Amino acid sequence: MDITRLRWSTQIVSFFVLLLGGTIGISLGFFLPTLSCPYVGQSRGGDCFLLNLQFNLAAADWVRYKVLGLHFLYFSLLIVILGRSWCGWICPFGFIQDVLDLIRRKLRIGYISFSERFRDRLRWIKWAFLFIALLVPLWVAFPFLAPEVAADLRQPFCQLCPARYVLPLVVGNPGEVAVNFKSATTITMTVLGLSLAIGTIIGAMVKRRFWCPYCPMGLLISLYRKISFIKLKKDCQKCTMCEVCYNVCPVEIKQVFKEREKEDVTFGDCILCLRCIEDCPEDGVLRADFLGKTVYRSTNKGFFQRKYNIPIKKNHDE
Amino acid sequence: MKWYAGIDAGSTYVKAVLIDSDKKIHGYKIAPTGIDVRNTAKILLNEICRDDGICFEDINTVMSTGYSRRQIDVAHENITEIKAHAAGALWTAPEGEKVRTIIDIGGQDSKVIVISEKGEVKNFVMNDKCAAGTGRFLEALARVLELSVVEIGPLSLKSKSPCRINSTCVVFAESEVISLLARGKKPMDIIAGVHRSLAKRISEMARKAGLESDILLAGGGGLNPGLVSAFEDELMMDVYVACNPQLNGAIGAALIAGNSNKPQPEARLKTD
Amino acid sequence: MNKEIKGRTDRNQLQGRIDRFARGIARSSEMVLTELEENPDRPNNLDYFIDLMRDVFVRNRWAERFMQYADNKKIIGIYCMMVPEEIIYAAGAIPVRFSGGSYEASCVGDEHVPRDTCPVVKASVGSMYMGYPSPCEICDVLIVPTTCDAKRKMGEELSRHKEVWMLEVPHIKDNEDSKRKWLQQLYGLKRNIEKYTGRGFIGSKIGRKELDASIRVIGRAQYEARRLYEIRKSPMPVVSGREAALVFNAYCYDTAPEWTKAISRLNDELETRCRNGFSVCKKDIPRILLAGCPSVFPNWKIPFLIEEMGAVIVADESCTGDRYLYDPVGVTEKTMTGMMTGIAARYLMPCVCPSFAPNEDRLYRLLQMSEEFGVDGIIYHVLKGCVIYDFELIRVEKTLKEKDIPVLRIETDYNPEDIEQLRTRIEAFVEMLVTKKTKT
Repeated sequence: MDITRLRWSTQIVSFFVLLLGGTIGISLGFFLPTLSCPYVGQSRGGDCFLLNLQFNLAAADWVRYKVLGLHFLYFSLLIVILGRSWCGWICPFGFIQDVLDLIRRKLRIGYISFSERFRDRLRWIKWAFLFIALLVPLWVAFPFLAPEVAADLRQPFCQLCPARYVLPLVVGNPGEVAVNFKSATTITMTVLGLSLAIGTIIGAMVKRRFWCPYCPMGLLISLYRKISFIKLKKDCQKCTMCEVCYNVCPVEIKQVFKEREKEDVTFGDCILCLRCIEDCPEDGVLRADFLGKTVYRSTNKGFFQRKYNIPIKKNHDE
Repeated sequence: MKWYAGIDAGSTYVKAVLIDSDKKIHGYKIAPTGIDVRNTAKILLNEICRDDGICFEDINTVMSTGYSRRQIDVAHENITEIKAHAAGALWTAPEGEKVRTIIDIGGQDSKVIVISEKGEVKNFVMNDKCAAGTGRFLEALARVLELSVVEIGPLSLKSKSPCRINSTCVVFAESEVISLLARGKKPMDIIAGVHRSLAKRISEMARKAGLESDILLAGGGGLNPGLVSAFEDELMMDVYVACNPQLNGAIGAALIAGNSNKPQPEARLKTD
Repeated sequence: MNKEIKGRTDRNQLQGRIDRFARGIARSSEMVLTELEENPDRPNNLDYFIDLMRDVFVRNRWAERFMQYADNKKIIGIYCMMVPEEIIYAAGAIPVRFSGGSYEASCVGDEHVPRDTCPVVKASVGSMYMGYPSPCEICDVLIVPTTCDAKRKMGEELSRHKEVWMLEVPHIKDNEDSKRKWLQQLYGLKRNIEKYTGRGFIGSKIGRKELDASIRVIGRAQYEARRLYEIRKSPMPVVSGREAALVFNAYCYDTAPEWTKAISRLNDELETRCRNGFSVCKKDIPRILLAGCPSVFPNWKIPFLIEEMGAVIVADESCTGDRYLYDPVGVTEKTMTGMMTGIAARYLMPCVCPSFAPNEDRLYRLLQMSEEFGVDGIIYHVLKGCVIYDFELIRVEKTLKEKDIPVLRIETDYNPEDIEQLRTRIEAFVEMLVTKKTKT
């Protein structure tokens, strides 16, 4: 099974469905666990939950809060079923990053990887984003301090999110790529957001999935990983510690490579792109399980076939 | 009634044992190997048969073991001494005692064999490169002190302050003993030190093999009470010795011959 | 550490000695090869490897046979298994792995290195001084990884006679700084090789295409090696361990594409044997994993002894055995960074040579191999003077005890005089395994 081709196809289909599906009447809901940005406009086929979250939190209205609660349930259900493969296979912003990565590879430019220490030091960013998305709308709802500033911070994370500036542009709607001169607050936020967006795009051209380790949506999804139906598993005795899974991981997860005891290696940053399984050269060391049943496992013959174009010889007894 | 024979063809002595299918010993003989081990083995077997009143052809299986086991042409099969000693230990052990380690001090080699309760070999360590852990060591140093091999054991037990023998090589130990004599040390102290030195060397080997109690001392070394005592001191455990400890290997070989369930083979070579 | 290449001035005076030396090695090699040929059950396609070793060690025809494959007539000598052969092939040169295996060579080496050094190093030094087998004489540069003490000092010793590039292998693998340093070492090695093979200037460096091609070439060799590995797992052995060991030893002297073709034919033949149910051993023969120090050709003492005593070696964990070509290079992308990162990872991370500390990974490897091959017992081969393999024995014994697999320690060197003592021990061990097997 060519996972790479399957993944690209899924990503392309999702991109069209989520960003342009609205034109043919597709509407998947307001609670999607992916950066399917509503600012794309009428053509969108589904909404990122974060907008919903911030909008309803800022409403200070019990009815709205109940709706939010219901949407949160649907949101959670979608995460439990597909885990963070929403990030690896469906997210349109992830797709954009993968496309930029492909361009980089075609141009034969090398990639940057951060050292472990540096990566650890940046962990706080996604938590900061999440807290901005949760706490600031509450401040807007109950502005006990500086209400005029709060009024301009209705969807605070969305003002910073790079997807909000990039995705509409990609779909042909450049209107969002502009500084909002309404007030000092909005100027600050949009300038910050634009800088972040430009930085992310440039970053994605030299580092794989530049944005994903800092995404608050990704963080939310990763909180469900223990109960999600899709899990990444490892046979620790059989692993030869060849480090290929670490080198190929776009979000540079080291723990899958290093794990020597536990079977479950679905870590927080993992976007379940399954590249590690694809490139693992040993039989059955890494596998993806859906509800306990293996749907994809690493094979030695598959490795040689993909990497070295060695055709798998069919023996009489195979 | 079936008969089985075990021949332990060591480098210094050949030991032969005859047992029946009830595992009772009917006869045994020990003789120096000499230069023709084949002949010695043949003669020994024939003598045992004659003493017991049976023919050589009545013996169902002859199993050989020991260093020259492959040269014994009267034997039908052969096994290593490790296996033979392990089998013999279960039989030779005193009634009711569980033997887990066999220390075999032979003429030219020594071994430590650790067995399970069923008598299967769990681990073994051999010393067959250096004479300093073997009967040869005791023989050579007894000769320097002008004592016989039989005397040295009881004499060493009388010592109250054994000398320390530092040399690890037989030849150099001889020189050391001579210089100790010149310094006025008593032969009983020297010989006690010699025993101690051997026991120490073998004990180190035994610890590496993972020895467990109870310990059975087999081989010619078992005849030496001084050596038994030195081992007990060194290992800080009780060491058992069966009567006729040199026969342990041959008995084991005979027992294994008895278990091998082979039909009676054709008559082998006769002696002249 | 780039020394000037010294002239080989005193060679002519030693010519008589060298001739005798060559005859000695030829004799002992021929003995091993003849004994292998005496087995009527050997696979037909093993003859390629027997013939190859004969050309190298007996007939002294290595140059006639292999120089044609070197684009620029450059031979680079390597040691151990940490030197990336892909880079050497990409530069159009041929790597030859010199690990000393002959007793005569170790005697010569004895004059130059301490008495307690391991015989592999002694023999490597001896061969290099005498210039036999011929690649020792022809090669102009040696790459010596700084693995164990003996290898490091050997590198220094040999640098008095040939150009030696020391490749610093980090002893602690699990460290980002070490990995970065290792990658830099490899880039440095790449530059050195480019200069040595005349590719120093822009336009003639080792480019992406060449490196990709050589990764593929060696990848195919690794694929075939893996096939042989899988074949030897079969419950009824179709090839004996002493024959399979020759295949990997031959890789040291052969070029990867030719070797791949030969082993591919061998694998096809062995797979046919599997299908037809043809086996070279009787049922319930004890299956042995040979672990520890390598048995380097022509030192076939241990493989011959073990199989003479009624067991079969189904797997060889040493660095000239199954471990040599086991791990493939996983290239993440075809950029130079991607390929060099992949190569660096492959030659460092999965390597379980005990020169690395900690070396827990080796225990996992041994456990996994014991399970996969249905191993009854492990014979742990320690060469005299090798502290690092001996050090790991205790943990290996303990770990395998939990799986109820006994381990026998055999300490020896290249001297054939201790065969009888080894025989008794191995025979007793095999007896133990047979008893165990028939009881269960």
